[in-house]
Amino acid sequence: MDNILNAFTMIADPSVLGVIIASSLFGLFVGAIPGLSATMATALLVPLTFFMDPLPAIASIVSAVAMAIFAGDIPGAMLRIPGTPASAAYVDDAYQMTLRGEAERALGIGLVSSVFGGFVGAIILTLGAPFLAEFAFQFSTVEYFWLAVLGLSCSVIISRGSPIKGLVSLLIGLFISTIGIDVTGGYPRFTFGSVDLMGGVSFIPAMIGMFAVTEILRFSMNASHQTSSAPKSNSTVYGGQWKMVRENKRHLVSGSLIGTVIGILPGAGADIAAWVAYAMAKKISRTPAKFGTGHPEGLASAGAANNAALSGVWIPALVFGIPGDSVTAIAVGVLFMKGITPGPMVFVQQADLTYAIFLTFFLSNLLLLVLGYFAIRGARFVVQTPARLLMPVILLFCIVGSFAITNSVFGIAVMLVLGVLGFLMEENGFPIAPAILGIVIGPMLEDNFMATVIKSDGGIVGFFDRPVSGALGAFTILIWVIPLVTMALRRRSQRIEAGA
Amino acid sequence: MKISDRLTGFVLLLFATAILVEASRFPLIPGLSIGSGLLPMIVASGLILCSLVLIVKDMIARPRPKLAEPGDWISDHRRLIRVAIVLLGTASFIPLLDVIGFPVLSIAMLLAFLLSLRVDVMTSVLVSVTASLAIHTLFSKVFLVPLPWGILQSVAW
Repeated sequence: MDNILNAFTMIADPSVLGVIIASSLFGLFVGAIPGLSATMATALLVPLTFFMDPLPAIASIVSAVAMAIFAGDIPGAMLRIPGTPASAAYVDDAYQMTLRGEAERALGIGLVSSVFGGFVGAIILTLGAPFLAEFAFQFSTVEYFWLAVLGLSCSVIISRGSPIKGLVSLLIGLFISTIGIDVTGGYPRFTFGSVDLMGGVSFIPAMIGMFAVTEILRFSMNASHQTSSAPKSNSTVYGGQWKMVRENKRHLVSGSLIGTVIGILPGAGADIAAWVAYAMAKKISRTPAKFGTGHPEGLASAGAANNAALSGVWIPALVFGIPGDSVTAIAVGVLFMKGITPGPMVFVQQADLTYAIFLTFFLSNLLLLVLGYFAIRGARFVVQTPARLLMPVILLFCIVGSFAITNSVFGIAVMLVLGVLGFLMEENGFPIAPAILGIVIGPMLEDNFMATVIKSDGGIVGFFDRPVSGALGAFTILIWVIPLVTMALRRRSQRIEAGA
Repeated sequence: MKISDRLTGFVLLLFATAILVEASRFPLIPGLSIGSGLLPMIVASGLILCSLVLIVKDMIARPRPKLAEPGDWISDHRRLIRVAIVLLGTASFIPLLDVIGFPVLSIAMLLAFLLSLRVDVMTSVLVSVTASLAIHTLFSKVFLVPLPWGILQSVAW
C-alpha cells in the first residue's frame, strides 16, 4: 500500500506532470503527421530522456506513444492516410464516415475506444505484472536465455514479409550487439583498434538512425510533398458516444482483451493487435458486410485494441526484461541507461517506480480524453503542417540527439551508418524491428547463454534440466519447427497435385 | 533502391564469412571450449545459411528479378540533390563539427535541405536560423551538452 501511495506522490510531482503533458502534446503532433510513427516519436524523445530521472523518462515515452497511436487516426479519417501503422486496419471505415460529413464522430469513436482499451490494458498490466513477477523469481539464467530466444523468435516469425529476411535482420542486430568488449571474456570484438567501438554500439544513435533517418531518406526520395485537405464535418466529437459504447460494448471489450494479449506476445504489438481485433469484430458482427463502408464496430474494436496493446507489451518488458516491440525495446534501453535492470527484482527494489509507471498509463488515458478532443478540433491544421519544414528540423534534432549520448561525433557516425542500412533493409523487405530487438536483447541473451554454458560445464543438458526451462526450450524449438514442417508438407502436397 | 535477393545474399555471405574468420581467432575462456567468439560464430553461421537460401530462391525464381534497380529518384536531379544533402550534410558533422562549430554547420545544412525542398528563401533562412539556435540553446544550456561553437567561439554566450 505504501508503494502505491509513494507512486501517487512521485507522479504528482509538478515536473513529472509537466513532462507528461508536454510529451502528450508532442505525441499527438507526431502521430497526426502522416509518415511519422509512434516509434519515431519515441526515437526523438530518447535524447531528452537521457537528461531526465527514470520516472519522467519512462512516463514521457508512455504518454507520447499512447497519444501518437490515437493521433494516427486523425490523418486516417481526414485524408485516408493512416498517421501510424496501427490505424491502418480501420482507415477505410473512418474515411467513409468523413465523406458522409461525420469526421468528428469517427474520430470521437476512435478516441473513446482508445481510452477504453487503454484503461483495460492498464488494469491488466497493474494486476497481472506483479503476479507474473512472483513467478519469475524462480527463474535462473537458463529461463531468461530461453525467454530472450522466444522473444527474438516471435519478432522474426510475426514480422511482415519473408521470415528469412526477418531472421537476417535479427542476426544483423545480434551481430551489432557483439561489437565492443565482451563482458564474459574481456576481449575486444570487431573494434579494429577504435576506442569508440570498445564501448559497443550505443543503441540510441542506432535506433535514431534506423527509424528516423530511414524515414527522412524515404521522404527525400519522394517526388511530391503536397498536403491535401479534408472534407467538411457536420458531427461532434463526443455527441452520441455513450450510445456507441452501449451498442458496441462487446466489440470494445473483445478488442481490449485481444489487444492486451497480443501486446504481451513478444514481437507483436499495436499494429497487429488492430488488424486481429478488426478481423475478429467482423467475424462476430451481425452486419459484417458493412465493414469498410464507415461502420463503427470495426473502429471501436480495433481502436480499443491498439491502445490496449500498448499496456500489454509492457508486461514482458517489465517482468522479464524482454521487450515485445520497438517502443518497449527503446524503453528497456532507457531503463538500462538509468541503471535499472527490468525483471522481477524491479517489483521489489523499485516498487514505487514500477507502480508510478503503471499510474502513468491511467493518467495518459485520462489526458487523452481531454487533449484528444482538442487535437480533433484542430486536426485540419495539424495534418496540413508541411512536412518539408518539419523533416529538416527533425534531421538536425537527430544529429544533436546522437551527439549528446557520448558528447562525440561517434554517435552521429553510428546514426548515419545504421540509417542507411535501415533504409536499404526496409526498401528490400527486411523488417527493422527484429534488428532493434537484437541490439537491445543481444547482451542479455549472451550473458545468460554463457552463464548457463559455464554452469553446465559446456554441456547442452543444462538448457533443459529444469521444468520451466525445459518447457520454454521445447516451446521455442516448436515455434521454429512447426512453420518449417508445415511448409515442407505444403510443398509435398503441391508436388503431388502437380504430378497428378 | 531495389537490390535483388541474390546480390544481397552474396554480400551477406561475404560479410558473414569475414565475421566467422575473425571470430574464430577470439580467445577461449580458460578451462572451457567456448569463448568470446561463440555468439558471433553462431550469428555468422545463421547469416551464411540465410544468404544461401536468399541466393537459391532468387536464382530459381521466374522471371528472375533484375540484379539491382536504383529507383526513379536517381534520374531526378532535385531528389538526388536532396538525398545527397541528407547524407553528406549529416556526414559533414563528423569531421567539421569541432572546426566550424554547431551553429554555422547546422544553419548551412538546414538552409540547403529547406531550399532543396523548394521552401522559399525567406522562410528557409528564418526556419534554419531559429531552429539551429533553439536546438543549440536547449541542448547546451538546459542539458549541458558541449556543442562546439567553432569559428563563432568569440561570440559564444
